[in-house]
Formats: sequence, C-alpha cells, structure tokens
Amino acid sequence: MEQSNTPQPQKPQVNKFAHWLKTSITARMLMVGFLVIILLIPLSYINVLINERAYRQQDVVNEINEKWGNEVLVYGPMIKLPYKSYTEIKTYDEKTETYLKEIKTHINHAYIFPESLNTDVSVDSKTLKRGNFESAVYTTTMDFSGHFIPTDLSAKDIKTEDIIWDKATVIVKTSNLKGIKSEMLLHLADDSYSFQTNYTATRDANDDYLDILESEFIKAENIDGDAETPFNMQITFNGSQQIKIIPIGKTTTMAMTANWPDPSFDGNYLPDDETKEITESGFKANWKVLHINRAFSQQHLNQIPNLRNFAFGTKFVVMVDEYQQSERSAKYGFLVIGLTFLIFFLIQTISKIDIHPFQYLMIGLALTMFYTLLVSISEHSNFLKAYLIAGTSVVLLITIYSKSILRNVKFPMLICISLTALYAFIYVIIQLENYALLVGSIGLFLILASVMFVSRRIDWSNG
Amino acid sequence: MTETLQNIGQALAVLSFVIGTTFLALHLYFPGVSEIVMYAMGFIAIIIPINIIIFLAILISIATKRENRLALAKTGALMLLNIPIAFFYVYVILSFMREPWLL
Repeated sequence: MEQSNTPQPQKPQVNKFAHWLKTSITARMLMVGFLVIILLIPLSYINVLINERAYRQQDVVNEINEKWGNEVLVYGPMIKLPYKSYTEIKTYDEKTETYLKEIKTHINHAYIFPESLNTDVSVDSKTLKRGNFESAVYTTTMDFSGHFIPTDLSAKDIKTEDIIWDKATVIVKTSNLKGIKSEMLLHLADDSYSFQTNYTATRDANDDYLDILESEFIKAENIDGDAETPFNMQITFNGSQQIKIIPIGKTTTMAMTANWPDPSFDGNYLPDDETKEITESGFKANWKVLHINRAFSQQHLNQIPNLRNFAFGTKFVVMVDEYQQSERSAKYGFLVIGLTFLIFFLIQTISKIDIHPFQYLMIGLALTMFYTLLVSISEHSNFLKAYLIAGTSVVLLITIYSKSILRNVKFPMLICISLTALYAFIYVIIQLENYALLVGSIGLFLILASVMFVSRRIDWSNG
Repeated sequence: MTETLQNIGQALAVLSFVIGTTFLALHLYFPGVSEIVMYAMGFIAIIIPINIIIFLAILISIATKRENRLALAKTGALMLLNIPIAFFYVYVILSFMREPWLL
C-alpha cells in the first residue's frame, strides 16, 4: 500500500451552523415554517383592512340613515290622565302644644293603554347608494286605530272625583321625530286633536330614549263616559333599518305590507306563519299579541314604563355579508399558505430542485394578495365573481412563476391543480354553515393522506 | 475558541430574530390571545441578557485575541442588527394598537 507523505491541503474552515442551514432537510423545513409565520404579518394587515372596510361601510350606512330618518319605533297612543293624591302632614305647634294636621294635594298622572290597538303599516322601501355602499330606507304610512274602555282607576285606589278629566291628553312616543312627514291628527270619538313635541331633558336609567308627542287637552266627555272611545290616527315616516311597535293594546294587531323582498322579522313576537307571504316583489305579515302574552298591565301610575323589550316588527337591512365572507376566507389564509409551501417543499425534496427562500416569499405574498383582490373586487361585484377573479389570477400567477422556478410543466400543473382544489375547498367551507366542520375535517384528512402518500419515499435521514 | 464563540453568536442572533418575529406574527394574527404577549415578554427578559453576555464576550475576544477578528466583528454586527429590528417591531405593534376596529 502506497503511503504519501505529502501534507494534505488544509480544509477551509466551514461554519457548521451555516452549512447545516444550507444542506439539511430539517433546516429547510424550519425555514419554510418560519416563512409561513412571517406571512402571518401581511395576513394580519389584510384582516385589519377587511375590518376597516366593514367599519367604514357601517359608518356610511349610519350617515345615510341619519339623514333620511332612523329606525321607527312607535309606543302609543295612551291617555295621560292627571289625578289628585293627598298626603297628611302632622306638625307639632309648641305654643298651643297641639298637633296640626295639614293635607297636601299632589297632581300625579296615570297612563292608560287602549283596549285594542290595530296597526296597518304600508312600506315603500328603496335603497340609497353612497359610493360603494348602500342602505335600505323606506317611507311608511302607519294607520293606528282601536278603542279605549271607560276609565276606572279604582283598582289603583284612585277615586273618580280625584281625576282631573279636562286636563287629560294623549301621548305617542317615537324614536323618529325627525322622520315624520305629515301632520299628525288624532281622531278621538268625534273630535280631532293635534300633537306637540314634549321635550324632556331628564333621562334616567329606566328611560327608553323615545321622544314624546303630546296632544292638546282632550274633551272630558270623550273619556269620562261609560261608552268605549274609538280612536284613529295616521303617521307617515321616513325611516330606515326597522319598523317596530310596542303592543300596548289589550289586544294588539299589526298588518304590514312592503315592497321589500328580504325582510327579517325581529323583536319579541313573530308574525303569524299561516298568513305570512314573502315574494320577490315584497311581503305581507300579520301579528297578533294578546295581553296575556306580555307582562305589563293596562294602567301605569306616575311614569310611562320602559317597554322597549316588548317591541316587535321587521328589519329592512341590505344583507351585505361580503366582508364577513372575506374575513372568514382570510382566516384560512394560514392554511392556504402552509399547504402551498408544503407542496413546494415536497416538490423540492423529491426533485432536488433548489427553491430559494426569496422565491418562497414571493409565492407567499402572491397568496396573501388573493385576499386584497377579493375584498376590493367584492366591493364592486358579488362575492362569487370576486372569488373567481382573485383565485384565477393568483393561481395563474403562481403557476407561471413556478414554471420558471421548476423548469418543467409537470410540477407547475400539479401546483395549479392543487391550488385550484384548495381554493375551491375553502370556498365550499365558507359557504357552508352546518357542514363546515364536517367538510373541513374530511378535506384536511384527504390532504394529510395525500401528503403522507407523496412523502413516503423521501429520505428524511439527511437532516 | 473564537470559532465556537462565532457560531454561538450567529446562532443566537438568528434564533433571537426567528423567535422574536414568530412572537410578533402570532401576536398580530391573534391579537386577543394575551398568553402570546406574556410568553414574548418572558422571552425578551431571557434573551436580552444572554445576547449582552455573548456580545461582550465577542468584544473581549476581539480586543484580546488576534485570530478570527473580522469574522467575530461580523458576528457582533449581526447581533446588533436585531436592535433596529426590535424597534421596528415595537412600532408595528403600536401602530396596530391604534386601529379602533381591533380588539
């Protein structure tokens, strides 16, 4: 055996850490994982962008509604009846050494709700646009009719002779004074009464934040007799968002007809299912609420109770869920980036084609661009079209880019098909509500199986 | 000896950057999870003294030993690079906190 005595050339000093980073599969995997985490930062900014656009949309809708007229909630009519109450005050007189009795008279008010309240509501709705955003507004004519029964406050320990019949008024409370478009006249028995606003500056915790309209004094003979007192009045409102009434009649009915095809029945009571009709040109709905359906009486002393919780009616809202869907799809951004990088990593490991971290980063940024494209296009189109355009653009871009990296057709086609399937999978998940978990789990299981199948021949010991 | 110090310095700089960036990304992506902030604070409390110790060791090594000075200086510079990055991350977090529609 020949032995050489010539000195071996000294190996250049190799930085072990740098060498490991460059050659090890584990290091490459860690690097790809780190890039996925880095790409969470642009994804966070995209989430902020989506939230900001949704916030701005709500702002614009609020502004449109503020100018046209806010939601309509009507609470009334009710009779406001003053009555006298007495308190006895005893004072001790030191000179005469006797007690002096003094009786003070107070004026309080009783609020009497009608025996029956029938409301006929017709709604003419439309959408108002500002920029990219729109809001549903309407003009509604509300016809109130019904009757009051003869007033008897003996159950409240108030004598008939203490009631000041000639100072009684009728009160209607509403959330939308600004939107009232016609003069309000109350027809009570054979007489008509107009209303004045009655500003109250004091607000307490029990306040319902409704404005008060109060009639002039009604004639005593209209309410102090033994006969029922019929009433009717009409109010025309410009409003938005919703129309509601509070069921203060012992029997309250409401019939609503509107040209709005997408109503959302809201509040404490739902309309009658048998008579409800919803078509593409509008809807009809009827409600009936009996006094046993709600926990308040027909007479209240001293203050008008806050009964907002008992209100019922319909919401007129443009269903814009583009931002919600964009937000939900952005939540899967982590998954899309991770799985795409996994495909590239497997291709890199199997084919030994070198993919630089910069190229991974470019692919990741292209994937995040999908969401900005989606949000921006969905503001001008529907969500499906936006998803298709954004998805196609990104899949094409990555396919063409990967063709230049991988220098063949087979792998870019695989990437194209995988990305298309992935985006289709995410779209299906965000559209499904009840089956999202099931479909998501099955999809992830299939993806995991595919990865296990493809990676079974990789030599992981090089790492 | 200097080669080991150089390796430790480089690994520490890369590791500090990677873990710090991971915490930042996770915090931005999951703004409501307070545990991330807690762990990040713990990480900062541990990693800063370690970085200072290794950086001082590198400085002493440069001053006292002749071999491998340039490579050690480069490692020190790499470690210092994490300081402006940290300031940038603080700026990013503060700018995120100003967004009214975030948690």
